[in-house]
Amino acid sequence: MIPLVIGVSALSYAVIIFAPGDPATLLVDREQMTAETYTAMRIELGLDDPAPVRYVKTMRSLFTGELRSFRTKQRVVDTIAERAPATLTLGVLAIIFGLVFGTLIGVAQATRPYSRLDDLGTILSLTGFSIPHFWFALMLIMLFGVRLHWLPPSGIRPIGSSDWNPIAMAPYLVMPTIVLGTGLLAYVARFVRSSMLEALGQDYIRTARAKGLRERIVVLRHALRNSLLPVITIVGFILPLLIGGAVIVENVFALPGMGRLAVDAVFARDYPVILTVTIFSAIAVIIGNLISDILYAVADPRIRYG
Amino acid sequence: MAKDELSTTRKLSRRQFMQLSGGAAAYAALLACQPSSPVSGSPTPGGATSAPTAKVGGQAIISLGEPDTLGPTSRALVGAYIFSFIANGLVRLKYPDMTVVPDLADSFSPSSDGKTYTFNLHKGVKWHNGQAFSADDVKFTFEFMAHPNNPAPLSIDLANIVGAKDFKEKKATEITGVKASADKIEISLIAPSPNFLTSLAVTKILPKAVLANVSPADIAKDPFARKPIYTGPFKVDEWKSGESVTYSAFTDHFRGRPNLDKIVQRIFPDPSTALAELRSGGIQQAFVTADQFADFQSNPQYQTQQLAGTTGWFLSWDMTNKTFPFGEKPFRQAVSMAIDRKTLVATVFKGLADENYSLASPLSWVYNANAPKNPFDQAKAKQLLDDLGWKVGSGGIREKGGVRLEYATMVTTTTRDWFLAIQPMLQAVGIGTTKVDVVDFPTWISRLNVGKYESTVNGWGNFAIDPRSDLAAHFRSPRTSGDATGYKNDQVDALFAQAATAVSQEEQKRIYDQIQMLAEGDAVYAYLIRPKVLEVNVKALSLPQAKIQAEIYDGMPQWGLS
Repeated sequence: MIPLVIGVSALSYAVIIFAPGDPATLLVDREQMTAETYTAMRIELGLDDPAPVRYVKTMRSLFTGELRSFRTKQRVVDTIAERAPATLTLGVLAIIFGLVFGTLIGVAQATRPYSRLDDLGTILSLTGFSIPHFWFALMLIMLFGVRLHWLPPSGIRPIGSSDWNPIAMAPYLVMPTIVLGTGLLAYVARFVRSSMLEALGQDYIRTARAKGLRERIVVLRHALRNSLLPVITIVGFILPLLIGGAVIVENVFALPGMGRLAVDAVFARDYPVILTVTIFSAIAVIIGNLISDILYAVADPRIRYG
Repeated sequence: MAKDELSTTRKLSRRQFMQLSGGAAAYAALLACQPSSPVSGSPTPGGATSAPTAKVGGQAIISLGEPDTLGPTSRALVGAYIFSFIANGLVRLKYPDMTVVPDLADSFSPSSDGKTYTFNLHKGVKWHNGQAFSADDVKFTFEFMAHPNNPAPLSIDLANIVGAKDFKEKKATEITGVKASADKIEISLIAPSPNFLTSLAVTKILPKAVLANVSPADIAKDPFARKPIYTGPFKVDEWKSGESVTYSAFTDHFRGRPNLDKIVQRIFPDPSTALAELRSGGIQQAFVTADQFADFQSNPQYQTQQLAGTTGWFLSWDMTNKTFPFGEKPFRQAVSMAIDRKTLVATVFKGLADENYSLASPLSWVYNANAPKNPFDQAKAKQLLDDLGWKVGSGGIREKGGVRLEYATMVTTTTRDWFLAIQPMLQAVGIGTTKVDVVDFPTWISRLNVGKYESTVNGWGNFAIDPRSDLAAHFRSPRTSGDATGYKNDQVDALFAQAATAVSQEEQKRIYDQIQMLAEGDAVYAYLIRPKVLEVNVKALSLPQAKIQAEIYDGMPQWGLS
């Protein structure tokens, strides 16, 4: 994992600093920039050091927690600590939403294959998978936020509240969760449907039915349990997609999360912030994969890692 | 432009995508639906329930960008907007003409030689933490700015204060040229400076008691940067990163308390979200774009104001280019005459823009209305290009010595839309415009600074600083900011040198009028338009009438719920 993190950080650092644009020109409004300010700014940000030196310096201060944003001068770890709860809350809710409803739809489809219901499920999941996040988000905002007044159009909690009160926050999180979770839902539904169909054709299902078990028990206890195994792997590789989605969802719903932090940092060429967010996301994906591997072994006794 | 550009850029590309994806019709239909009541969903207990005549109390939620810091190192335009209602200088700028008026100083007077200024401080001023403000705070502020530990170099105006340089170089323990007595501050200058007072207006006074032990190098890292203490009519309660900044009325403010109890500034990364909130009642005030403005104008639940464009847009060239005739005045005049600004305003901006013919804003005191202009005149444009020897060749594009008059234009996603409308105007006089480089704002500004472009759609915000600096930043050589057009006129430079020592306002005006006569006469830029700044607020909230955006924030203490 450590070599992976080093690789990711070096590669992203290279990509960041080779992108056109000079951070020093963006920190001061053009109208207020003078030659002296510009020079001082480049020295302060250490932009005139050679790239490898800057990389080592940046990584060292990242690990001591002293790395600071070019723009706000706040410690990047502090900013991320401030922004992570929103993204984590949203991510967990979206995963739960996607898994629960995706499984329900998939099971419903698999038990009545090639029926009207199955077709409807297929259309729904294909739509859910292809719908652009920002368009979907704007449509929901316009309908439920502006027209019907059912939900607040944006934000994460009521104005004036500073705590993380789940009840007060719930209405704010409904639309973002749906938008972010819909892709996962569609994915899970497709997966569950096909592995469920495969499981329902197996010998042990016939045996179960022959024993005289009720269809409910056959489907839920025997078939579903086995067909959920592959779904565990999805969660591992859906994480990068969720992070990508969070960038857009957080922007449209004005949520104070890490995805938005990343976008703002890119537009300000705030190298320390971009790098830290990238490394954090990389670690999240690595851990996600690790967890799904472990879960896989736990769920399926046949799998043993040497 | 500057940071505002970022949000506009992203918003426009989204709208284009909406059009491409076919979502535009549905989007427009949903946008057009009437909100049930713009204030109904708003959590404004104080405001919503108060009697219609009540003028004091309540809160307003507004949309405004996120500042970089609220400490003295802020370099963003939004920071300047916020400082105008949380902090004070000795003097302040009066909008929109940008003249200097008293602030913490009740009165000020220069000595007869123009080298010493005496400021009589307002009595009974308090800091947000309740402590008393004194002349020592003013002296402390200057020493904080010029401190040896402060990474920022001495500004020209600061270096002009007697003893500031010695203090910066650790040769003195105080700035001898700033003398604090009970209710007076006396500042001695090395040489009389016409810019001195304006530079004071942007210097916000800092509390000595709070910052005495903070190194100026660390100010941006100090809690002060997020929750500062100043003397302004509003104080900062809380800044939630990426979410909101809350301000409450400072009831002990020396000019009396502001009307509202609270201002909540919500931070929207995406303008369409702010728009949805404005329609649903989640916010009470915002600035919108031209295509959304008409809806609000015709809706009786909202009040709107059309403010003068802060940013003037123009076409500019790298005049050092040897292939193309960018260095020749008739060429630049011809381009300016090829631009049909009236059509541009009517089509791209739905009438919500003004034609632009100058770098200085027509509202500022430096503006010279008599400076040469090159208005739309297609025939004359063609004639000028003919006279330069660029004759119409194949495909209607002019040629000279085997070179086709077809150069690249660098645009951002925002200006690309405008350039689409400009292209046919240039083509009509024989200029090829098919090479378009679309870049993001950070790339655009760094390429502009190093002169790595042929031509570009350029913009300049007028009310960020002293209007004289606007002219100096573009017409003086060498430039202070690096954007390379390579313009140089010795007569203009001589006038700038003259202006640096001319103290009387009449003399200043005369010199800057002359500068504009010469530089605008050289047609350094082909001016385009000034988009109006479009303000919308719910009817229940009343805002003072303003001419420019900065006035809206400057006038925050007068905001009130009816």
